[in-house]
Amino acid sequence: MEAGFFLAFTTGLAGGFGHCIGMCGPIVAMTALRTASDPGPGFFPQLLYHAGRIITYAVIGGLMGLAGSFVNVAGRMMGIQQVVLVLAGLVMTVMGLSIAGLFGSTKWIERHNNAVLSAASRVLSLGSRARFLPLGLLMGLLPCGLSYTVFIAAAGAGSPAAGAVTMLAFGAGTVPALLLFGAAVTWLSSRMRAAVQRAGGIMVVVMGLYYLAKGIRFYAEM
Amino acid sequence: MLPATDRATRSNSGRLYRLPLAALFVLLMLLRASAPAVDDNAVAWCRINDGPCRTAVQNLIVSLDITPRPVMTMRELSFTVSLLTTAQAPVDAAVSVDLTMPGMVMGRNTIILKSRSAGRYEGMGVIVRCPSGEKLWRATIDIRRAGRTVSVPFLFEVE
Repeated sequence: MEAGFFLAFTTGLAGGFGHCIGMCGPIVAMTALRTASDPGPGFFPQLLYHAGRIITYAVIGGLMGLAGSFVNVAGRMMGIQQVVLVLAGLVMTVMGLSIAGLFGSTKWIERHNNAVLSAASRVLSLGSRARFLPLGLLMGLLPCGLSYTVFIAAAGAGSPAAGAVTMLAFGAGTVPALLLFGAAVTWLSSRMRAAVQRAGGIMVVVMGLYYLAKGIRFYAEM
Repeated sequence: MLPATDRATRSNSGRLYRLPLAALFVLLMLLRASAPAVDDNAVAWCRINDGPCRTAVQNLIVSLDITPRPVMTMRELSFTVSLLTTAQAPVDAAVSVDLTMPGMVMGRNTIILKSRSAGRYEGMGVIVRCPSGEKLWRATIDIRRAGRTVSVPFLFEVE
């Protein structure tokens, strides 16, 4: 079983570069750009975000291990994942607009949009850096092909604990690549603040709209 | 503008993580570069939803079938590999199917098949859904027999 944990870790490590930066990079960029001007170590919010994401993976891995079936648990999760995909799209669109400085702040959006946008904006506008933990917990639910593959291994791990540890190992493996990416965005942002903030914000908006479209399309297919 | 003490804190923390991150970046790039590349131009195209696919490799005719059809993601699927030779069909081979996605790292999803009858191997597995919408998959059948391994890749699309 230890070999399974190691395999899950190396899958996360290799997949971090080959998969996660492409799929989750915009969310990491969003947290990095959002905290680039905060005082203190720039790493901490991102570590909180990844901790949240890994906790969610471990819980789902535990459920997979308990059920002993990937298909049954994944099937039940699919509806929740589509909601999270739409929510992630909304959050990214709101935050991207704010980061790019297109509306000055998210207050314009809060005034003119619905309660969901407002709630998402409020979570990310909390004074405490702890806001990145719930964000990570939520984003851990995003549908992801690479994590699905490791969930299959978690389902076959034989127990809830082994399933959870499999996913913990996988999640830990994905962290270095995403931290590197976040560090690169923070570094760039500190050097070319205005240009990077605006370009990054627009990219986050585009990806947010893409996530929204995906989420809505999945609903249509269900 | 940040206070001077805060700027100093950020600067120190930046120095702390810059070197290990750079080392990690190089290590991961090396790991990625060492991953085996597959030339999909040389891979047999398989219309799996029309029926089993087959190809000849060395003295072996290898057939792959996935049911139920149409082949869909996130469903339990039955994978059947049939091996035909001019001599007696092998029952002692170790056969597995490795599912990967061309151009996208999707992790290792290997299905170990069991011998059901002469030359017929079966196992259950799942093809995961890629939220990007990509539907092209590669199934590489590994046949290990008498110390030799033959790999037979097929490309196919899922619903």
